[in-house]
Amino acid sequence: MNNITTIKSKITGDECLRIDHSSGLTIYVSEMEGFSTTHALFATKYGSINTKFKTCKDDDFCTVPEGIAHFLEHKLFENEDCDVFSLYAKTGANANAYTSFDKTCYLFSCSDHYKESLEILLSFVQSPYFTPESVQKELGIIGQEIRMTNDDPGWRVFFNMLRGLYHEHPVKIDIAGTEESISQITDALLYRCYNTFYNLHNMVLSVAGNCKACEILEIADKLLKPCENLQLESIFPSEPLSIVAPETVEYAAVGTTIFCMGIKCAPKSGFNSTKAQIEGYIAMQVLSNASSELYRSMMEEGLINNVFASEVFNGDGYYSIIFEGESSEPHTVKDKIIEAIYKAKETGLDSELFEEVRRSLYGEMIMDTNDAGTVANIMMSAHMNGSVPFDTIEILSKMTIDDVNKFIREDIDPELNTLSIIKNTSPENTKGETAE
Amino acid sequence: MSASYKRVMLSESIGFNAVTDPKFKTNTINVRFITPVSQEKSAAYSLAASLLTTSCRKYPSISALSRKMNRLYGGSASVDVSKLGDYQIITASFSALCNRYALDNEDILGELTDVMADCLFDPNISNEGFSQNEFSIRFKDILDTIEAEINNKRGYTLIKCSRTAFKNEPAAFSSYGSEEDVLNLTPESTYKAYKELLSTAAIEIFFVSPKEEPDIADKFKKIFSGISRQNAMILPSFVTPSPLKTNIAEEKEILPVSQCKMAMAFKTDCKDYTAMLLMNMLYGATPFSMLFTNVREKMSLCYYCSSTYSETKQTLMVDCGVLKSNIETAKAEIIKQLENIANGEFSDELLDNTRMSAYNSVKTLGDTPSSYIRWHFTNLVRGINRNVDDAIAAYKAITREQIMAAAASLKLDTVYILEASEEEAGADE
Repeated sequence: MNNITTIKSKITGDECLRIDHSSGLTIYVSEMEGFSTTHALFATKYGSINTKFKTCKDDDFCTVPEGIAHFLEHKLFENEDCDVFSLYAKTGANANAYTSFDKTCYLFSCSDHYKESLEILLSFVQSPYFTPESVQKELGIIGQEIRMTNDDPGWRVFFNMLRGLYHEHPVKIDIAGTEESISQITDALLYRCYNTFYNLHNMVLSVAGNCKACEILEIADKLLKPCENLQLESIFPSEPLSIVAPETVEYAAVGTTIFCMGIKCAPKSGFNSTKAQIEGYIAMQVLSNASSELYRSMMEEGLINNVFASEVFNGDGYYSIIFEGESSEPHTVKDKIIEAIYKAKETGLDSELFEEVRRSLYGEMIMDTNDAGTVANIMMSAHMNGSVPFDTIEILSKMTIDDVNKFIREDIDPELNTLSIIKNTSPENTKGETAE
Repeated sequence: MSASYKRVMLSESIGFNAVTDPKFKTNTINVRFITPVSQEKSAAYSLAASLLTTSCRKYPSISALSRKMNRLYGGSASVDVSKLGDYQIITASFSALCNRYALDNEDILGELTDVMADCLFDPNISNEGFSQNEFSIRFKDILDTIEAEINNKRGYTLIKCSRTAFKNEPAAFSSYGSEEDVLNLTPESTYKAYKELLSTAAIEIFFVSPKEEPDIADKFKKIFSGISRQNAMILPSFVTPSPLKTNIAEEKEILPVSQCKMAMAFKTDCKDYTAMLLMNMLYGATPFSMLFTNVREKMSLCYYCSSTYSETKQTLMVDCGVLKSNIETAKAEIIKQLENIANGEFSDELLDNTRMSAYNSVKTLGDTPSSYIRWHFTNLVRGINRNVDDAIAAYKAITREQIMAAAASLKLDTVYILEASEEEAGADE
């Protein structure tokens, strides 16, 4: 028996359907009038951080090599008799997949024939086919992907920062693993991970744009294979609220020195996570976006340039606030950011700036609902985070400056910071160094 | 009401293109200045443009302008500098929510149009030059942008390959200019360049909105009437084919990276644009293309190996990331797959699938303001007035023989290799 609920945003009028399908899968559908594109995402709550897990069928926890979730994503694109891209080629859909820290997502967008494309999506994700030969073949391709990201200074400065913040949590490991770690992957291990995480109770299907819920439901009824809820448990090592190293410096072929500064905060979950995401975002915007005094003064002093940005990095067992950019004086930038946070802890945020940023975020959230791909992502992410689509705009409408000031006072400790720097390669020093 | 497109000329060299589509929740204004790429002027034009969307007399700093855009519900004002063939395209974009979402009944569109006019025509100047303070900030920004070219190794490889492939042509110059060009600029010379850009560039304005705004063309006409346009360029022909070199140019650069990159430029005299576009998709622009299927999937040589086609330079570029020991194998396979297409060694199924992919990309063009603008601007660049049905029909009409002829017409011109230094390349092998 399928259970169907309508979710409506009182503020924007946007709505979607949530279908709790009898197979165990949760499905979200947003029919968007006037759009030609259909965007579909089929995702599992399984990413690079899920390295230790068990189900009710297992006696003990299983630990798997780093990068296996991403490897599995690559291999699922290969059916027993063909490559999945060649199936999509017949419908004209534009298909892809990605693995992040906490999810693996298979997607397509198309103009016509969305039902055929949806059938392909639901079929191939439920039909794994791994052999020792196909695993071996993928090592070369992913090995090149790993090297490509290793040469990306933006990626490296970010992961060096995470390694400076997190002692044990697997968020510090590279999503694709290393050439060494993926060499330990076998077809049997891939099946073990697949059977654990690609259980429909751990997955979500999100479709937005030019589509009809009744047609999607018909395909779901036909193709979804009912799953037993295996009571999946992922565990993460205990992570102290302290940093690993205050600074990491590496040398690479870059232009201006790049930096990434992280401030570690206590992790959140459920509704509190969504609320803290918005509080952190607003706090960082008021303190450091282009309209702030901090940004203006750092620009005028030549300390930063137009790539300076901040973000909230929030997931299962981790929460941090990140500032990144290019600067010949990253230590001065760090000091100024910390000084601004201490000042905000003491005096609170400027109320006029707060209202402007809140208004800006309101506008951005409405603009997000103007794109089928973004709407499909909003519904999928809300489900993965344990919240409800359009919740964020409701939370924002009720958020006060006192909430954000409280968050800054109680949740941000500027001393828990690490600074990751990548400088241009110098002949004397071509290898990385870590200051403990 | 369905979507509509209307084009009017505000003057001989200023086109105004209005797209109305009721599904959108935003109004988007996109002003494109089109001018020849030149070593003398590109840097000054880029710097001037970046000053225009970060401050103006009314909002004299990035902070002041940014606060205004926040009050306009997260509206945006930005500039993009790019190159299309031998032309520099400077695009100033302004966008914000449409009026029906205003919490206090403000006229968001009216205010957005005013911000655009303030930014483009009333800059933050003193003594016949841009404000020294704002100039210094953007001056540093543009120098950092030029220096940071090397950060993105794939992009860097394509830039370096283009510079060699289009040597002695305007397309070889950077759209931002060189470091040396920027260092020579002053607030005064940049302001002079700004005035020159306003009076000489061809201008195309795009306005994408959810409902028809009957007075908007007149409003823009009034805003743009204040500038002298006696020496203005009219929209040029963008196609300036790049001549094929007598001998293939081969260049190599060694950097401390762990993956080698290769870019190969092929040139053609084929004028059959639709056939070439379809051939490019079949060869290396889809995940079921010849390059993806063979170089990546069958031979496991690369994570990415793909092609792009530039109609304006009649040049097809292939690029990939590859191990040093596999460079020659990859190069041979890339050439072999092109020869296979020229010899007709591809299935009807692959051709049908490629047509389907082209159809899909054309059909979804109206789902974002930016894709509408891209579509109509491409039509203007190509001097045609096709609609979606025309484009689909054109793809359908392309025969196997036209695809083969398009592939056969491509000749290798340049190979650029970014080689990983011995130490880095050997580290993990």
